[in-house]
Amino acid sequence: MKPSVQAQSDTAQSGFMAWRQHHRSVAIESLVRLAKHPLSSFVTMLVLAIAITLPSSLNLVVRNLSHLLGPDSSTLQMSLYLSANVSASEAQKLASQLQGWPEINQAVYVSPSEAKQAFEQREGFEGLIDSLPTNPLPGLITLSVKSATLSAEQADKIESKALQLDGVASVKMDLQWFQRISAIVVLLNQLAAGLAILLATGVMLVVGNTIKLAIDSRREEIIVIKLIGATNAFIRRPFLYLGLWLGLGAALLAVLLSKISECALTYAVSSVIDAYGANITLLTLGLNDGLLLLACGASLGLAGAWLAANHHIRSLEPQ
Amino acid sequence: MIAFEQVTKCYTSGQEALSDVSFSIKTGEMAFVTGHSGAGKSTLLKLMMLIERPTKGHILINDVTVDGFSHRQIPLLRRKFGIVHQNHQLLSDRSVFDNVALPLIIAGFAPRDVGRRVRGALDKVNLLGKEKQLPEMLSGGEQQRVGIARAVVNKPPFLIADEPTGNLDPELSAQIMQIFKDFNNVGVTVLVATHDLALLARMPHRSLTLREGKLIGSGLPSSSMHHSPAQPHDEHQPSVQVDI
Ligand SMILES: Nc1ncnc2c1ncn2[C@@H]1O[C@H](COP(=O)(O)OP(=O)(O)OP(=O)(O)O)[C@@H](O)[C@H]1O
Ligand SMILES: [Mg+2]
Repeated sequence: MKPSVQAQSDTAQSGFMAWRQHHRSVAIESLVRLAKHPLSSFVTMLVLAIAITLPSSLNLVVRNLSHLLGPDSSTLQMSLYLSANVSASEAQKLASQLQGWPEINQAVYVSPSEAKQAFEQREGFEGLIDSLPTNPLPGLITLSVKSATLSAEQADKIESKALQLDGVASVKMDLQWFQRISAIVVLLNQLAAGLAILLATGVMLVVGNTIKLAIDSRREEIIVIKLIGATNAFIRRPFLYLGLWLGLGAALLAVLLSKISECALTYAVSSVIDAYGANITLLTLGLNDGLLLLACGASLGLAGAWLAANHHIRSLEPQ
Repeated sequence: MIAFEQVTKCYTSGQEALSDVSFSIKTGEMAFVTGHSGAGKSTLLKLMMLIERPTKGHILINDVTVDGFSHRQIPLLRRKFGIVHQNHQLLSDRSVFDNVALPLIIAGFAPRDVGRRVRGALDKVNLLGKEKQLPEMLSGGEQQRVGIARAVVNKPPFLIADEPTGNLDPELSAQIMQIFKDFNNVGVTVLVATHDLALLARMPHRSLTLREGKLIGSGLPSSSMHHSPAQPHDEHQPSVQVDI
């Protein structure tokens, strides 16, 4: 009993080893075939790389945009105007209550006299309020809102919540700038996604066409090995590796392209940033992004190859 | 065992290549398929390999009806057959060794077994010294022998040849036939399509004779040949079940 079990597991193991060995030799062979036509392989990969670089760069631009307008820039300011009968201590209490809200970065109470001071500092208004019998300016609380994750509806919600507080007479919100920017960010994100889908399809089609040509050039061979009992999976294998290498190579090139344009862009932007003396760092393509690009390239290449190989190999039958 | 049961094959062009053909070939038998050009010899062999499917009737290989096989089942069926073609169908960009190794690679043999078996097969056809050459560097007869080595390298139970001697001179043809007989002697079922009647006349084997798609004879060559007398080896032949 034992020896036969042993023998069986031996053949299973050697079967697996043979399978692995075959994969390795097919993978290398596909690579060698690519290297035999370096120029056309490179051109194909470059086309694919450009198609991969476009949406990924756009995505990086969008991420930079929302990063630059993110939490630090606190572009969203709200002013809560208080009723005249609210005392300074009540107003302070209100401010610290608002400070406790999760959406609020900072709530600062500005007393009527401080407001008056600020007002009078403006050019042309000096002494204007002093000429009035009483200070007409109400006390106010200025809020800065954590805007990075804020949508227009959420801003509206904060506004109505604040209006329900005792002592708040009105709320003024400087939303327009914020809304415009977030609309642009959303739009660009959608554009990047649409472009990504479009160009991913393009990548698969280009890979598919390359695979089709490769299959055509090995027609005879495919028919012969079909005749001696090769399965479609066996015949497909070298072409899948071809697609994989094309996709991976293209993604590597895409990372390279992105890095080059990034350097150029950082150089151009840094002079602008220096001129304004602003302390801004640009987001660049990180390791994770690079790996993601490689994974995308590889799977798109593989998918394109699979679709094309499946279709074209099935139609090749011995006569 | 290979059996045809009332097989009819109409090509999509409307050409009826085989009509109502029935026969059976026993395991271990060697037989020929003969007939004029266009009689349906190649069609008959193609049906066995499921390169074509019968329009009517059934085909049994080792008692299994194969004509309804799916695309997934076909490769495994084809591995049971060693096939030799008239134009040998070798891959011109691979060495003799790699060509002969193909069936083993396809079947997933371990590399060390591949080398051993390929050399064994090349030895049987006397081509051991040429394993590194490309097919086009060989003579027609040598190429044909490489084709035979490839057909038998994975020790298939059936060996099928379509005009294997079509391009060869009589001496080479006889050599090739001798190789087939050797395989038959070790138990391989051999079926050869040929219209080389002179060759057939010298072979004491049954031949299935086709005319315009119909099976008109399936006895020893003498019964359908005009020259040679009845073969004296009759009693050595396995008794064959034939239904026409
Ligand atoms: N793929 C095909 N489509 C249509 N008709 C075909 C096809 N293959 C063969 N035929 C026809 O079927 C008939 C039988 O052809 P087959 O190739 O079986 O003959 P054969 O006996 O092998 O002839 P040969 O000795 O010339 O090789 C012929 O009339 C041929 O024209
Ligand atoms: Mg023929």
